[in-house]
Amino acid sequence: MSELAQPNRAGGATETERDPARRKAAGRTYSQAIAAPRLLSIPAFIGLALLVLPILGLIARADWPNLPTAISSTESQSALWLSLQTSTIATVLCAVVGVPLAVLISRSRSWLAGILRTLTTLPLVMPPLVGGMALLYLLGRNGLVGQYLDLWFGVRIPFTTAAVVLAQSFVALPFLVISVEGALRTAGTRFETVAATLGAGRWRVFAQITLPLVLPGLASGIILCFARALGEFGATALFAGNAPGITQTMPLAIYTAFNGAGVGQDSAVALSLLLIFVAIIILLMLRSWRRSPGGLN
Amino acid sequence: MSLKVDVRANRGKFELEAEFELGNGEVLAILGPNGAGKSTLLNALAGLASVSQGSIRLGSRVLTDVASGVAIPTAKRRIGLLGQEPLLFPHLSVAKNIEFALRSSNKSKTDALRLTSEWLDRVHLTEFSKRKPAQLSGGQQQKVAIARALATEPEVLLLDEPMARLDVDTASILRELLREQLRESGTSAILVTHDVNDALELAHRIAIIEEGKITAIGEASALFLQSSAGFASSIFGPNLVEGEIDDDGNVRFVEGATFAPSFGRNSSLRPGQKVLIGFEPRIVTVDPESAPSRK
Repeated sequence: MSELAQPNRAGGATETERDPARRKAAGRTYSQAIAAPRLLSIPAFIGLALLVLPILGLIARADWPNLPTAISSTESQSALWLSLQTSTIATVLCAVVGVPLAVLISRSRSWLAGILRTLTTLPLVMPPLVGGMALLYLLGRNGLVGQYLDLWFGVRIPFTTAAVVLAQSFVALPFLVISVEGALRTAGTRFETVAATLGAGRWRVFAQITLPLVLPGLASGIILCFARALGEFGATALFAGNAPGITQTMPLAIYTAFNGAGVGQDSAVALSLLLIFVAIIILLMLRSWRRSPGGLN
Repeated sequence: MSLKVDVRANRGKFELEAEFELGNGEVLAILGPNGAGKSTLLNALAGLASVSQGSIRLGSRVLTDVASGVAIPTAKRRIGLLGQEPLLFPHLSVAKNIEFALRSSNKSKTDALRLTSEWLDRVHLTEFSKRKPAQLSGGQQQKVAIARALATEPEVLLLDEPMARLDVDTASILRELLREQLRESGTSAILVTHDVNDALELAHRIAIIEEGKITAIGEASALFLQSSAGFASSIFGPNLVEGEIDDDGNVRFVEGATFAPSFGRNSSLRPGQKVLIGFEPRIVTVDPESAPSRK
């Protein structure tokens, strides 16, 4: 009977797996099987060009001999440093509040989850300038909450470094929440249910099961969140202003230079290239950390 | 510690109505067609689904009582669950999976480590302790899941078709392991299954559930001898042979042939006792070439 003649599966590797030549052949068959239609490569390359060509334009425009001077000026150095600091703090802040928010959304009833998700993604469809205005009318000296912060605690947030961090968090948080929430939904609740039947309390389940399971999604979210915070301009300009050393981040320094108030367009291009270079380095670092065995999957 | 169940649970228009008792260390199999309410019942017992009426008591503890509004959360019920899929935590090694269960049931770190290696030994997977679940075969994963579920010393273990996803050979190995470990630990269990072999080999009693109601409950032999119609006979009929235990501890079929199963004289079967043998037709081979052998 056929059932009795079953190959021994306990051995694990099949013929194909053992033989390198065959494995290679099998791999080729596989990649052919999933190859995309060739015509798709045309719009794909147009898309890529749309993303990459402007940067080439920037590189072509750069005044390379004077580049080192432009980017080593005190102003650009302090703008870069401020950008890195505020973006990092904003990303940590987003992770601390964003992960719980993502958990809340993913565990809510569907109608409530829909409302929460819409509210969370609101900053994505808002021009950042509007976000900055909204923050100002909330936390400004005459704002809804700001007047009491000033009156009771003497705290004034606008036009401080804290305002930069808040503006960055406001625009970057949705990226982290969406990313983590997607991971939570993909992971489902089956492992959490099993953990509960084993007697695990909610905190143990969250810390040891839920969180590790969504780490890849969290890593993507952190990358997107950091990138968005680093590039943030509009909300910062309105809510935090443009004070060198305090609120003048790289995007603001670039804008200032480009408008001629600073050193001129050459300097703006140089700062832009520096920002792009730093951003690429950091994104590469985050990605390698995510893929490393000790990292996040 | 006995489990007393008397509940009604609704899922959409479907209503489940179940009343039964599970003795200490007893294994009760629940057989029934798809959609009969088996999963609803298990979910109600595990606290994963709400109950519309009635109560669930475990020894002196009330787990669910609709009248007084009691609904103990899943994590505090001490009711384990083992399903079709092993659902091992993919980011934890085999050993860490079991350790997690032990730590969750309030064992100290030292005890958890010691018991983890004991359990790995019991399911013969010590050499795989550091592997991730994905590096194990389906059968090995399910063995770990059995160890993980039993390590927490649940008062009742709910088994939801635990062998359904395994091939015939692996399923029978797992069935034997499960029987051994359930007996050794004296854990009461409720086994939901389609597979009559599961029910016969693991359970002391069998309940038949149809359209949300338990239509028959009792010991296997009694149940199948009396139920000439309905679900029980439909799943059992063709593969069931009636016989009697002879002096050697073998089964003498009514038709005259003798079956010498491996349990020999050591089983609890007494000469003269009427028995039923159930089997899957696929395990029978007919080989006209070889001479008849006595064993």
